[in-house]
This record gives sequence, structure tokens and C-alpha cells, in this order.
Amino acid sequence: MEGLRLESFGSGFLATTEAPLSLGTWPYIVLAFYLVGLLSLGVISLLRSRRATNAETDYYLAGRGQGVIVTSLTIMATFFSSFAILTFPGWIYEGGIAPMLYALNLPVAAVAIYLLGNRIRRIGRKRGYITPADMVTDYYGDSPALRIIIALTGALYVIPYVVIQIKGGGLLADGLFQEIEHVSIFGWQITMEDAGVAALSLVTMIYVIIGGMRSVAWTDVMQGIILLSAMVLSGVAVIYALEGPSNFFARVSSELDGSLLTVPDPGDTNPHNVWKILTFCAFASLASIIQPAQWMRFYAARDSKTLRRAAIAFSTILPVCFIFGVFLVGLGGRVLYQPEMIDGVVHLPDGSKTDQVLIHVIQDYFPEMFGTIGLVLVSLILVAVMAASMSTADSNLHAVSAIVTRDLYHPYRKKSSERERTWIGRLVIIMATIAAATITFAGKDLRGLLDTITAFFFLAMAFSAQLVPITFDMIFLRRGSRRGAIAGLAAGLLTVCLFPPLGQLLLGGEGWVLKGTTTLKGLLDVGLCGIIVNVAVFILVSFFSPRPEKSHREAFARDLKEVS
Amino acid sequence: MRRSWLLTVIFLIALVLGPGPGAAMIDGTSEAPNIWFGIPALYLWVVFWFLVMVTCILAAALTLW
Repeated sequence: MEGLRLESFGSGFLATTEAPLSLGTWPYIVLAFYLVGLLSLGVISLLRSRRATNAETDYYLAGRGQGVIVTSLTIMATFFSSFAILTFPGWIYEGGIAPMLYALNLPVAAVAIYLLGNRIRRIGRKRGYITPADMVTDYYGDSPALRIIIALTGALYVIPYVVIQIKGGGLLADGLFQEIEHVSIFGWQITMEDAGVAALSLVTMIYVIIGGMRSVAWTDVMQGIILLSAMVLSGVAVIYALEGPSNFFARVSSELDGSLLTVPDPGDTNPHNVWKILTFCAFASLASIIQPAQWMRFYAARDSKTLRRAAIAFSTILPVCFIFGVFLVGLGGRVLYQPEMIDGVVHLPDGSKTDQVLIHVIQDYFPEMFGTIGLVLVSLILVAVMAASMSTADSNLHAVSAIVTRDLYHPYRKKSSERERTWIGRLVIIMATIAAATITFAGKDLRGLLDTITAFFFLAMAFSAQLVPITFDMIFLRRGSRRGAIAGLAAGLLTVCLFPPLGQLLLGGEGWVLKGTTTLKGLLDVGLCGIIVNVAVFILVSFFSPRPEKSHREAFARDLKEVS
Repeated sequence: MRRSWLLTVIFLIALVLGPGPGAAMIDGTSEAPNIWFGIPALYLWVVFWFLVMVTCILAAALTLW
């Protein structure tokens, strides 16, 4: 009987599960179809882009013509990674209902898609923007310092995501083909995990290079559909396991400890207290919606109607998949699998990490529910977890390329043609993929570097949140100055760097600053802490420095509102 | 304009009350958690505020945006 082991990188830790289930050759078949599907979409999008007259806009923004289905699903697939399908149910298994309150950040993000995204789309089309820095430097006035700090803010979000998601994909491939110890390529033996990293990196790199935004978005559609289906089906499986909805809630209400059905008080050891959740819902949602890859999706949307419908789809489909899908898996899983405490940490009964609860549920109940099709569905969901990693990695890889090409290369080679910049962008994708894969391959030798990147990954959303003040100023207020924007952004980024786990690397293990930020992190969203400092410095410096010319501000405001 | 403000206020109330201190007021205690209609009150709370927020978005999307 073949075993199946799944290792995930859902929240930065490694989990191992031994499951007594034979999937036979289904994982190979499903994965082969999946990878061929991705490459086919890349080729089709390449053929579509050959008709384009504007190389750069076509490569980075799919010619600003993406429709509602593609826009909705690419925003959703970029929004969540394997965190959504593994870590979140694990949190609920461990902490009960309280972490479900995080789902209320989704409607906030949906509102931002329209209220911020549509204005960004409108002026982006009017003025030919491609990256966030294009818009910021056009409004505040171009300066190398401003462009570099905006590019840096974007890079602090996207680079850790690329590395961690590629590493996660490799670990998942290793779990999917546990019976294979090593793979031999040209006489060179590599582990299955490294082979997974290499294969997924190569496939992702190929379709991003050949099709740009169009292939990234189209593959996001495929990955998004697989992932959303997996989220809902796993919820159905756990309700089936507990014999229907009424019995599900009856057993949850009667068998689970009361602490799992209530909200912990602030300051409790449980991190999911109400103030932390409230500030996360209000600010982390905005941070993940104005990160560079999403910002470019707003530019790429065809029209206002597209983003309006995308906001509706985002606000309804995604929360339903969470609240009636993966959340129930965590809650029902706690009834189905009595937890085991190992070193004071909650584990599943077989000793595996809690983020394996969804995998346990589908492996135990899908074959019973669906027969042979259940085996296919289990394989499909395991591939879906990989898809979640890849759909986040490809979007961020594409965004890295745009940031380097538009914000760093173009200002220093102003005479470069669009075609030249597009090829430079492709070169950046190759280099970034090789760098990410190399860091992953050499994980043990480059342990310090990988730990540093992981520390940045945990604060990536807080870094992205530092774009919120200048975005609101440009779109709604128009009272800040360029110096204020630079100073505020720098202060916000530095503030975020003081929080753990990055603060521990920068400041060492001790010190009153680190103690303070550790306490604060338990109470509030880190992004909000950075924003408070950011806004204070932004207002103060803007008060003593010149704003953009009045005529410039008025023209900018007109283009934000104007029909395009 | 009045409808815009009304929806904004309802949405913000949902945002503050939903994940905020309101959740801690209705959930009961860990010794005796509130169960409404056979379902943990906190789960119903999440679903209720999610529906309120989505209703606001749909109303805005269909009439204001």
C-alpha cells in the first residue's frame, strides 16, 4: 500500500503527514494535465499578444482589456496563497471560531477594489501608467528617491512571496510523490523536493515569460476555479463526515471546549483577540489590495463595469468559500480528530501539524463519498494547494519584472524602446526565478538568507500597507508633498522593520524596543502601527514643504474622475 | 448622497462591531458559550455581519457605483 505524505509551507513551518491512502497514479495524471494546461494557456496568450501594437502595455497589462471573469479570478487567485486552504483551517482547528472573524476583511478588500481600483484604472489608462511608481511619481513629481522607495516597498512585498511560494510548491510536490526518493537528471541525483521546485519554477517562468499578464491572468482563472472548488468541496466533506448540517453544529456546540466557541480577551496567549482582528480587517485588507501585482490588475481591467462586477464577485464568492468551506473543515476537524498536545502545541492525533486538517478530511471522506472520483478529487485538491502557491508566485514574479524594468531600468535608459524594456523584463523574470530556486535549493547552506526572507515574508503585508497613506492622498485628499511622501514612507517601512520576526534579526534578541513591538504585535495589526508613524511624518513634513502645483493637482483630480 | 452616507455608516458599523468588541459581547463565556438555534453564537455573528457588509456592497454597486 503506497503511503502519501504531504508537506506544506502554509505558514512558514513544515508539517509531515503519513496517511494510509493509496492514490495510485492519479496524482501523476492530474498534475500532468494541470501543468500541460498552464503551458497551453501560456502559448495561447503568446499567440494573442502577437497582434498587439503596444508591446509593453500588452506584456504587463494584457493591453488593458481584461474582462470581468478574468479580472475577478486573477484578483482572487493573487489575493490568497496556500495559506487560505491549509493554514486557515489549521488556525480554526487550533483556536476555534475566533479566527473566522478575519473573513470580514474580505468585504473591505472588495470595496477597495472598486473605490480605489477603479480610480487607479481610470487615470492609469488616461496617462499610460504600468506600475504603482508611475502614478506616484507622476503626481508628486519624479525623483529617483521617490521612485526607488516606491519600488522598494513593492519589492519588500513581492520578493519574499516569490521565494516562499516556490519553496512551498516544492514541498507540496515532495508530498504528492512521496514514494519517489530521488530524481535523476543527466546522471545528477536530486531530491523530489528540489525536483518539484525546479519543475514548478520552470513551468511558471515559461508561461510568465511567453505570455506576460495575459497568461498569468488566464492561468489564475484555471487555478482560481480549482482552488475555490476545493474550498467548497472540503466543507461539504466535513459536513458529510458529521452527518449533515444540524448534526454538525450540534456536535460542535456540545463536544468542543467553550474556549473554542468564544473570543479570547486581548493579551491572552491566543493571538486572535478582537483588536488584532479588527485592525487586521481594516488595514491588512487594504494592504493586500494595493500591493503591486493587484495595482497592475486594476490598470489591466477593461472598464469601470469590470471592476464593479469584480468587487461584487470578490465580496460574495470568496467569503462563501471561506465561511461555508474551509472554516467548517477546521471546526468539524476538531470534532473528528481529537488533538494531541506535543511540547505544549496542538497537533493532529497522528502528530502532524494542524494545517494538515483539510488534507486529513478529504483523504478520509472523499473516497467514501465519491468512490473512485473521490481519489481524483483528492489528487485535484492536492494539486490545488500547489496551484495556490503558483498563482501567487507567478503574479508577484510578473510584478517584480515590471518594477525593475519600469521603475529602475527605464529612468536610467530613457531612450530604451518598449520592445527592449519588454525583453529586459523577461530577463528579470529568468534571473528572479533562478535566484528564488537557488535560495530554495541551497536552503541548508543559505539558512541565514532563507530565514531573513521568511522574516520579511511575515511582514510583507505590513510593508505593502505603507502605500495606503499616499494612495489615499493622491486619490482623495491631494494635500501631501513629495518630501512628505518619501519621509512618511521611509518612516513607515522602518517602523515595520522593528517588529518581530524581522526586529529580532536587526536588533538581536533583547532590548526595550523589541519588547515593545512584540507586545504591540499581540494587540494590533503591524501594518497599522507602521501607518500611524507614516501618516504622522507625512503630515509633518508636508506641512513644511511645497505641494505639487495647483494646476497639476487639478488636472490630476480631473483625470481621476474623467470618463475614459 | 444620503444613501451613500447611510451605506457607508452601516458598513463602518459592521466593520467595527463585527470583528471588534461586539464579538466579545455576544459569545458568552468559555464556561458557558452562547448557542443560538443550535449553532455557536459567534459563528452566527460572523455570518450575520458578513451578510450586512455584502448587502451594503451590493446596494452600493447596483445604485451608487
